[in-house]
Amino acid sequence: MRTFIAYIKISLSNQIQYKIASYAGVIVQFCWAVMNILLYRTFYLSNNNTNMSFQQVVSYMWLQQAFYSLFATWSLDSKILNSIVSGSVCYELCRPMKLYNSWFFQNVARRIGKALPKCIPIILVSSILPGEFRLRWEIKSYEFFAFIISMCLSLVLVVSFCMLIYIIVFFIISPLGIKMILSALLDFMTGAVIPLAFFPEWMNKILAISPFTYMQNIPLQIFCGSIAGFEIIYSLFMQTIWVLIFILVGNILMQKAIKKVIVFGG
Amino acid sequence: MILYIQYLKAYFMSISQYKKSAILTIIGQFLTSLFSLLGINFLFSQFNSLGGFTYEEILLCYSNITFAFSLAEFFARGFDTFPYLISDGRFDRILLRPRGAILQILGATFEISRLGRLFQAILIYIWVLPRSKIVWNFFNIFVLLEIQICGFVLFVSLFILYATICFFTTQGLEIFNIFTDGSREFGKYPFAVYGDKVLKIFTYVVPVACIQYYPISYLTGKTGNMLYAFTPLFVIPYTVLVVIFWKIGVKKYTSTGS
Amino acid sequence: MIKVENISKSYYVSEKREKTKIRNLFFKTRKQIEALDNISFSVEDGEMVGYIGPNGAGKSSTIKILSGILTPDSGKCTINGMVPWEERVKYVKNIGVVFGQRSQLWWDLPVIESYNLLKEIYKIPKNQYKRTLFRLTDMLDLDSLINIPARQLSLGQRMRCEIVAALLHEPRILFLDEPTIGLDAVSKKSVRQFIKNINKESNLTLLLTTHDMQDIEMLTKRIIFLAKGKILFDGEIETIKQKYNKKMVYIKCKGNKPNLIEGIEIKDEDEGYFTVKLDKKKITEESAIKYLISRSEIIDITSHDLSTEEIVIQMYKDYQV
Repeated sequence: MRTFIAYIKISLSNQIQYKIASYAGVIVQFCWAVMNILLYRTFYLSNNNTNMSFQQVVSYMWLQQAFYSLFATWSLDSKILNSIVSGSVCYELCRPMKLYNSWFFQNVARRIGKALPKCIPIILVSSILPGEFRLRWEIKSYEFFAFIISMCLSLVLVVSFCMLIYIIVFFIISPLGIKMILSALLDFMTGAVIPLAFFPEWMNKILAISPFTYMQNIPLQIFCGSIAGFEIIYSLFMQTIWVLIFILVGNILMQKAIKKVIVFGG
Repeated sequence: MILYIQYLKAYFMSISQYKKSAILTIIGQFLTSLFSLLGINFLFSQFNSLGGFTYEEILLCYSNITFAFSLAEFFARGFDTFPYLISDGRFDRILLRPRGAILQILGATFEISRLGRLFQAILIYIWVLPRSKIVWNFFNIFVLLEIQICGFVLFVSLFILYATICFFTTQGLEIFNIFTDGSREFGKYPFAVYGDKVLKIFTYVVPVACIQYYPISYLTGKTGNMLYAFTPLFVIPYTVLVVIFWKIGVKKYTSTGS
Repeated sequence: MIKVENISKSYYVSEKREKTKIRNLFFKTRKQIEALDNISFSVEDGEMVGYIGPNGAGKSSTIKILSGILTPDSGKCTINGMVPWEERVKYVKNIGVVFGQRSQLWWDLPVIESYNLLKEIYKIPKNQYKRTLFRLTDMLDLDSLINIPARQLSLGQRMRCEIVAALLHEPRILFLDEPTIGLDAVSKKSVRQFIKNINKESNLTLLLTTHDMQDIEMLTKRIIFLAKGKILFDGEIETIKQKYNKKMVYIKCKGNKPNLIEGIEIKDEDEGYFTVKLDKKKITEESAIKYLISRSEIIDITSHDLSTEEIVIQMYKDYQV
């Protein structure tokens, strides 16, 4: 736990080095949310009878942009990727810590470090905007509690998924192509392109048993109030299951990867 | 021109060394825009129309932007990655040579993965053009070509503009992605659907609406105003301005050397 | 204490072909390379050993095996009573490793931040950490450096900080893989002095690979010379110096070059001057001088010992590597 806090500390101070980039990021994310909201406002003029109300879409968009760096599946740590390709990974192998845990901590910490300076101003500003653009806090306290838990689970799920990608890089030398294909697929499946609520029924049924819907869709929907009651508990349960599966698979693969490094010298 | 073709040849020869990787990135880009297309499709299955535009009209707009943007990205990638060009000293080397800097940067690198998007844009054209209710006379074909060419030129000059800003500041460059990546992302839909203010910004500051909302309104018969058919030509003076701005930037760079 | 017995390691390297053929997609032509071939040596506590050899001799493979990253195909190795590649996590607490070409410092952050992170990774108790850090920075004059971001340090300064990073958890053994690579002469000197101080202060066992013979000359008494995966020499530098102890004698003369007798070889010839080299197995200095002085005018006689560098070049030649 202390190691983890140390990782968070160092990645936050690393982020502070890029202050201006962070400010710029806030503005970009803010504009992105505004543009999306404007787009959906026009869409809603033609039809109001959808799975999500316009108000819910507004909240969804704000939160999605606020926590963008937390859940972006394609955001891999170039430090780790480079260390695999260049062989610096041997430094980490010389440390008294399992490589999986070390990378896992680093990634969670890095995402929190990146998201924290962005999400606070975006949430603050969007909560005091006038009229229909406002982020509505119409969430009950137990739902908010579930939202926080679900956020943590989503973060851990995304990271444990990214761990699989890092480990794959051990086995293939040039990760760029795979990364592009995966990120295209994931952006869509997780609801980064359009909210999953607008997907056709049959696709949502498939996605419900896949891990993708649990990577950012669930916490955002809980906050917007578009899923409630038993559905929340079920979703949290599924999130946990997928986290466990990914961590288990990741650890097994990691052992194989390390063995490969250890036997063949990387 | 001969030099440029030489650059292109060199690039394709170096690519063939990494065929597998190149093909994967093309597929990746194809998928990215395929999913963005699916997104539009799903949205239209929930909503009937968008600000008076039908599904086919939106797709026409989408393929126009995708085509022009990916073509521009393919050729002008060097400007998109300009900060690296400066920081690793390649730009200094470019200035040492007796050829125009813009040409050399255009030749410095190409982005083959964008062919994936380009290919997709063509597929959508094939699907959408017969289905759109555009009357195919010479003038309308001219307008369509005008959109393509001016769109390509516009995006190239946006990349040059982005690179020019690097001469004046190296920090906070991400903000300008709102205009480059933003025009691709949000230009999928005619800018009028975002409201008046946004439309004005994307007409006068970054004239992307000139190659989508106005001419498409004309093509689809939403307006008879002939002026709308010629708005893409507004890109020409815009590009001239950008190039002047670029030259000022280069002058500043060579005089301060930083 | 390090004890290595009969360690061997071979790699398979897939060969690259010039032309891409379809069958290459399905079959890889693999080539076996003996990286290490029956290596044995031992190092006492507090000893400083230089590990030298040409590129690809197997130096890095050895370091990797000793630090638990690489498993050998056969052979035994015990370090402080443990086998490195078994129980890796427990084992690495007792060693420090510095790879000269790689960095474990965070590029954008003050060095001290990286140290604080390492403190948590190695679970170093607070007091011990403070004490060690104070001792190292004080002894090595790093106080002013550790608050500077790593990217602003010179290569030599950074290398010193890297070495401290590897010592924070007070390991008993330190492996240095080419610590002076890429440094300028002044930085090299300061890094060497630094390593020397550490060894003196804390009685560390130190194994150092390098290409730089001056590193060896300044730091170690003992060298292990490795080539093509085999140990060719293991012992005191002095022994090898004596073995190759050919005092080189050059004589510069004025006048026309005479007919040379056996043991005198021409080295240089210039307008009216010539320089000869003596082969002392065949001719004594005395008779050579006598011979030369009767035929020309001797201007200068120089003699010097072979430097370590020259000895190593000689060894490379002798072992044909």
